[in-house]
Amino acid sequence: MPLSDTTPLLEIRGLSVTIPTPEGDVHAVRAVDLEIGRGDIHGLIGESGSGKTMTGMAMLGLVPKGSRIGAGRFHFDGQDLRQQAGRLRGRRIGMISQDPAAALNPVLSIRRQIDDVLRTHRDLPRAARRAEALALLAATGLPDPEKVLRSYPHQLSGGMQQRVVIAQALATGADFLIADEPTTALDVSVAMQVLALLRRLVAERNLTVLMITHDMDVIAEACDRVTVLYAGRSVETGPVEEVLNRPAHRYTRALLGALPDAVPRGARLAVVEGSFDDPDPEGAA
Amino acid sequence: MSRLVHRLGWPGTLALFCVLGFVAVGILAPWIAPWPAQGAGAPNVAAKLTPPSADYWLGTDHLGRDMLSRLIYATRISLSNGMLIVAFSLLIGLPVGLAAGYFGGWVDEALMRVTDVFLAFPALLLAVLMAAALGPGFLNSVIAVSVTWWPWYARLARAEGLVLRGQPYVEAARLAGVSHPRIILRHILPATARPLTVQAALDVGPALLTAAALSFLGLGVLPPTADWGQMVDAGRKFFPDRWWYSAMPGVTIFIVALSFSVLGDALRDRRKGAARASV
Amino acid sequence: MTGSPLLEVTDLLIRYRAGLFAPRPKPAVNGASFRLERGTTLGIVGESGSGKTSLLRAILRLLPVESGAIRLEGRDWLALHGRALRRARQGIGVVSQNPFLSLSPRLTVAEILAEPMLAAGHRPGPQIRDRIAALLSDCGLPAAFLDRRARELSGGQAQRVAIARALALEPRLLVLDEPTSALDVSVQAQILNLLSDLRERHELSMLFVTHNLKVVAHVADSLLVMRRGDVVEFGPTEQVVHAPAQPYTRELLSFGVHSRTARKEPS
Repeated sequence: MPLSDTTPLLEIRGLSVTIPTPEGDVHAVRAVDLEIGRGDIHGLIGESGSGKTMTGMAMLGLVPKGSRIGAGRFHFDGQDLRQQAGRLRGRRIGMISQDPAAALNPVLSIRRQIDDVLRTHRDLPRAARRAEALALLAATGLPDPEKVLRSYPHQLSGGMQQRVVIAQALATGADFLIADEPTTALDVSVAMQVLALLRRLVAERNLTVLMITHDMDVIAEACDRVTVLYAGRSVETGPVEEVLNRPAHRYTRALLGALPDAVPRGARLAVVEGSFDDPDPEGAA
Repeated sequence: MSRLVHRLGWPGTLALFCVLGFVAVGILAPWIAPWPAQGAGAPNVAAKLTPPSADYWLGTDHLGRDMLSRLIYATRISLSNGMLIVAFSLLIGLPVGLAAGYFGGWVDEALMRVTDVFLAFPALLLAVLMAAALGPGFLNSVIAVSVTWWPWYARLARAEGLVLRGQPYVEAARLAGVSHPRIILRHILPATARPLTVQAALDVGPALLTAAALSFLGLGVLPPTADWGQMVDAGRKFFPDRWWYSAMPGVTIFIVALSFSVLGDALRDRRKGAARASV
Repeated sequence: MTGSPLLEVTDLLIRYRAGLFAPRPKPAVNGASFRLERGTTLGIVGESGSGKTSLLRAILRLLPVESGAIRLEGRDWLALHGRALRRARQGIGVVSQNPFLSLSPRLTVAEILAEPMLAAGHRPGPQIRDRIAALLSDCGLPAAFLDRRARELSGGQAQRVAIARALALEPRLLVLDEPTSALDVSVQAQILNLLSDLRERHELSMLFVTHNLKVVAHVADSLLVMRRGDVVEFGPTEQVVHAPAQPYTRELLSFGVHSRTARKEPS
């Protein structure tokens, strides 16, 4: 891939998502710039109301009905997501959601759920599909894939369920994964394993990941680059070590100062201005 | 008006007006019945079994009484029958169910086993047995049906109590030292009001049908007082030649039962809508 | 203040009842012992299934104990029942994880804050109203919030109301169950700041239960780490953080520090 290695996989300029409601328009996303290089794990960090989830949803073409998407540029691998999001979703763009228990159907076996995906996206005979499913589960680090294949979601722990969801996302053949708070529902020790798994899969399979999170630890643990969102705008972007150690924007600085391990024990934590009542969008920049 | 339609939808709004209309008819019976005396039971033998006509819009019964007037007077009995059954059932079922759900343990066991005994009998059979034992009459038929009805409210209230008991805000009240009766009155009861009103609205129709069934079997109100079930029964002897006699009260029962059911559905859907909007 | 600690838990064993003939399950809390000195904060840390919540609920007497002892201010806490327990429990303020679930959706903030006082036998009237307003401002909210309902509050505001309610009866012990886990980082910072203010002002002792070791390491004087029902670590915060006895504790502490320390020097 001589050309594609230099051009970013995802290129967004000035993305806005406006959702009409009976009480008037909600500007969920105001001005987001995002550029994600191939093979990167790119973090998108923000607090509630920052528009991080809606940004991901716009890429998947899953914005609420009637929403208006505005953008100077909204391209995935050269294709305009405004028209192509629905077609790319599930083919090249996969999704890993926060709650694996909700993402899996409780009454179907894991075998059925992975097989359904494989049957939709890959033209393989039955036996080959089974082999592929086993290979995918093994790739996500699940011990005894045979047994997992026979299991139902409730028989698996949260960490195992999330691995199954990742395997399912891989089964589509997608090369770009949007992970929305993939570890928020998991214990810290399990979260670390899942993030390590994602890093390994990205390296092994030439994937690109957009990691949406509110947790600076997840960014620090797993991401190469990070974009900070505040009130629907991207306020800062850069390599993780750069942004975390030398934050340029005052919101990023405040956010880092608000982390309990950022200051000595018992010292006062930084207070992010304008976040108390609700974020004042205009006071953001 | 448009807000009402927005919240209940067209069918719900229509049903609400039907129900209100019937209630109004019941209350205003002496003033709106074309033949008030006949409605109350005075015979008019000269005009017996007249088909619908300009004088008697819905025809007359075997004693010549105007069907429309009789139906209008019967609305009082039948509607209050249905509503009283639901009210009595709530009065018994709600405290029993809330106590069982909230306290759990042996209180729950004891109360719900008693409830199960009542549920073990087919409802109509139990109502018929009760009515036969108590003898016919308005109040007796209400009691007879209520006896079969309250266990359902007890179960519903128990389920709500069980869920609410574990709610953090109820636990917070307990930890703050609030007494059990106060918690039930202040936190549990208001939260059950919504689902229970929906169920109650849905139930007036079936309750009224059951009461009508008792009347049909001669276990309800006694003539000359009219009630729809009794009228259907009386008209049965003249069916199909004098079809209007049975058909008019039958159609009325159908419309009222349907109205309550549609209204209940609309109330439930409104509840869901409200829940969604608040999340 | 010397003498007996505020809270002393000894060899506490909690086991959930299985069926009558089912084999006895592994205890949810397997012999926990610790002391909470007056005016200090103890952090109880653990992941799901660690037993931290069971331990907390047993201390609040919401869960029966199989064996062991709990002494609160020197008194046998497990011996209290009924009315005596209800009254004694008013000496403990509780704040739980999700403020929107722990505040009644139907009541106003004023009613919510009045509830513990009325339950304790205070007469309704202007004094209560004044006291409530003072509580609220103590927790950083203006009196204008008194007539709002929970759904009209932001997460941080609702948690402030929950804290105000917990303080309504001037408790000696404040029990916090994941008080910031449902909040944004910036709001969490405000709540943690508020808690340290309140602690100083009211000379509170606190039991801070959470899955987030970093949060609790910031506020606690001593730490207790639980795993699968066992207490695997108990000691002064400095000691636990800088020289953890267990690799497990070290792992929890390492989350997210890669970039901020190891990556500090451009590689």
